[in-house]
Amino acid sequence: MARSKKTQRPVTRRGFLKGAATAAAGAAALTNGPLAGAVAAQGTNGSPEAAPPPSPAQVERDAGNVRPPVRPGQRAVVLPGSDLMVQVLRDLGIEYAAGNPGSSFEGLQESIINYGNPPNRMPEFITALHEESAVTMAHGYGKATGKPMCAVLHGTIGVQHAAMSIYQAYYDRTPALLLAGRDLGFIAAHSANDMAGMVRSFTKWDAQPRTLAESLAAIQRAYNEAITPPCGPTLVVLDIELQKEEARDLKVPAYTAPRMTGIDASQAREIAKGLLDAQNPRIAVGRLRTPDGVKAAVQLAELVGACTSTSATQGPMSFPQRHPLCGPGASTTYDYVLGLEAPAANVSLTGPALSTLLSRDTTNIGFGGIAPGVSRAGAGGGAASGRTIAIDAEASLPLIIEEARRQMTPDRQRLIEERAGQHAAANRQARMEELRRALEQKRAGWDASPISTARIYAELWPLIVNEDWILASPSGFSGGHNTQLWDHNRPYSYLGGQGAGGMGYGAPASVGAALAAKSRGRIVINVQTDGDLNYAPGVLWTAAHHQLPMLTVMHNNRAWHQELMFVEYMCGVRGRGGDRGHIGTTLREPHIDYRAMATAYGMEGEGPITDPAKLNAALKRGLASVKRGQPYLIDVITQPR
Amino acid sequence: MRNRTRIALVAAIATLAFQIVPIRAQAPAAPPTGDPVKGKQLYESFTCYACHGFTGETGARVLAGSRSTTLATESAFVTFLRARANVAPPQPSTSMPNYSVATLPDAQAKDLYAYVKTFTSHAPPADQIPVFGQILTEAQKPYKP
Repeated sequence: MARSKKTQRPVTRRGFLKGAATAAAGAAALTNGPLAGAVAAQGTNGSPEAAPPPSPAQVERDAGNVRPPVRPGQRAVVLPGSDLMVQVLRDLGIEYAAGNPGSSFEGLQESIINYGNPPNRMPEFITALHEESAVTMAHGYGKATGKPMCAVLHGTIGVQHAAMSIYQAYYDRTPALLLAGRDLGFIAAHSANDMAGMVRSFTKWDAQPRTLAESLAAIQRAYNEAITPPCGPTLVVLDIELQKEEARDLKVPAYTAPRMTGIDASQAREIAKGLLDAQNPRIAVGRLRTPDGVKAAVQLAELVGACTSTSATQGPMSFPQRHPLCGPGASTTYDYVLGLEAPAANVSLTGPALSTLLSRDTTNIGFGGIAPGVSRAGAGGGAASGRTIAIDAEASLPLIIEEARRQMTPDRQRLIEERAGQHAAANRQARMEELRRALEQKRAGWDASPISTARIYAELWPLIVNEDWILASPSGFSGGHNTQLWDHNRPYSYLGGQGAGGMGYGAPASVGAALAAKSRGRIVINVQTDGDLNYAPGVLWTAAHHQLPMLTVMHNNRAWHQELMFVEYMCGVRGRGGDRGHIGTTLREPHIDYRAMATAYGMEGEGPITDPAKLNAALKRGLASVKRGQPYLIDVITQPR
Repeated sequence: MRNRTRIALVAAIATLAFQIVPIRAQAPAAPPTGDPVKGKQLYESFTCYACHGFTGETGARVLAGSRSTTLATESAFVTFLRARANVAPPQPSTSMPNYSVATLPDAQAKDLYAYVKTFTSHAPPADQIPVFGQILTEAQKPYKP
């Protein structure tokens, strides 16, 4: 029997009648019905702060007192409004909608799983065990694809559960389409006049439409707002009445994709000329929006023979790290530097920042990172001493490429080819030198037990180098060894950090990435810190249930290690003893058995592994499982970092 | 100073240095006086492993095989422990904490030193780690878009 979220009373999911007439009938039934005593008791004992007792309509529903259809075989609604909502999602190419079931979107959920042919495709309903996980799945999916995934939230409680994840996706400028159900007549505590108000400070756009037609248009607009820079999560509140009403002859409105504004022709001419006139141009590439933007950046760099920098070791959608032009190049004296979403010495194309949305942020939440003037992740473009054009780089690239082609001459072409060859040789040499230095460092503690984090990344790399992989977990807390040992050559190779440093991110973001990976023949690597997993481990079940290609390798140092160091430092400077720093910062006594945790959620796994000699074989077994479509968890007891 | 005088002075200093350095290098450091078994307990209870690894071979500051002057002698080590910042900075810090006498008496500091001095690196040379060879081989392959 399903339960309405956070209520103490189980409720069935049979028909729901609402309105004065049924309420009156329910009230009559209440006086004699089987639940009368229980309801009366709850009503008299409830504190003023407690949720109000169920309405007569709810009681009637709980008791199953619903009217059958007028004629056998007749459907209550021929074309429910939520079918059209799902059709809008399908037209937008939304692959997945993750949610934790809630009564306020039961109409929408029924449409997702039953509407269309085949049903439960585009979007497929993904069962989440927590709204925070549902939204982080969308966050991970968004970073892996550059496209929004949908997360469905139940009323006030679902939105609040999701709030931290929404905040992280916002801070991370990642598109996500959030739909929240609202049911004003069911459970008062789960409803609000302004549902989106709770998260408005960190959503890009929201709407609470009043009609079905408005709802359909709002979903389309929310999608467009999410993918238009600054990208971010958007939220549409969908009343249950609109999900359930008969759509009759209402049609899905025609969709118009947003027009991404790029630089104008004269600016493109100037930039193309700057790149072509320079003896040693450079392109600093930060985080673009989509894989198409990355492709265009590569095209431009190859066209003008510029060496490039990349932020591919910091996050998604940047220049391929091992492209022959990526690196310092044959000479580090650059006479023209173009920045694409990165600071640069000459011209930087930098799309609208989150600061442009500050009018929505009444609380100035997270102001340190959103306020104007805060630089983005550096991409090696040098000091931002040049001119910054506040415009989306990705949308500007086609025109620059076109201009560069127009201004190209055979002489220039010959020089560019020569220069590109020199850059390639120099970058290759630099790469090999850097790699040798890195390996010399990574050998430290190679045979140590617990196992070094460097060994995990080093052992993994030869096993996945020829796979189409995504590293979806942040690696900063695990030594960041991938940045030196692995090649991040695809827009989705490494998805970067949490966004706002919130824990409970790695596993659900990896599940989101694995959803993207599943339909694209990729695999996902999740080097999972133990503290982070314990926020919402139920996401392991989601991975098992949906058979996602995700290998989780535990970086199990049995602590919230960063905080352990902080507290130990405080103990030291205050001079009151240094042997209690572990209190509140470690996960020992008892140790957590992550293999058993995985098993409990239906995921295959092994461990704990403490002998480094046994790691490689375990990784091979894990990857074999993942390539069969079965997620796998390996518990590795590790050095702290 | 005339050039000839300057050259003679430099030569004299160099000679002196060559005489002194081998003498200092040959002088055996005084052995630790503490108890490494007790030191191990302290290493764990004071969570030294957090930054130096459980075996002193990993982390932000590797201790195994370290040539740091703060580990050269017992007294240098104890002095180092006492000389760290003792005022909490506004921002959280992962720097080496200060350990006052009240927190870590001299006897315990010496035990800790004795344990730290037992650390040795067991890591094989890089060219004897097969996985590293595979990584280098892969890196030499042409870039594939």
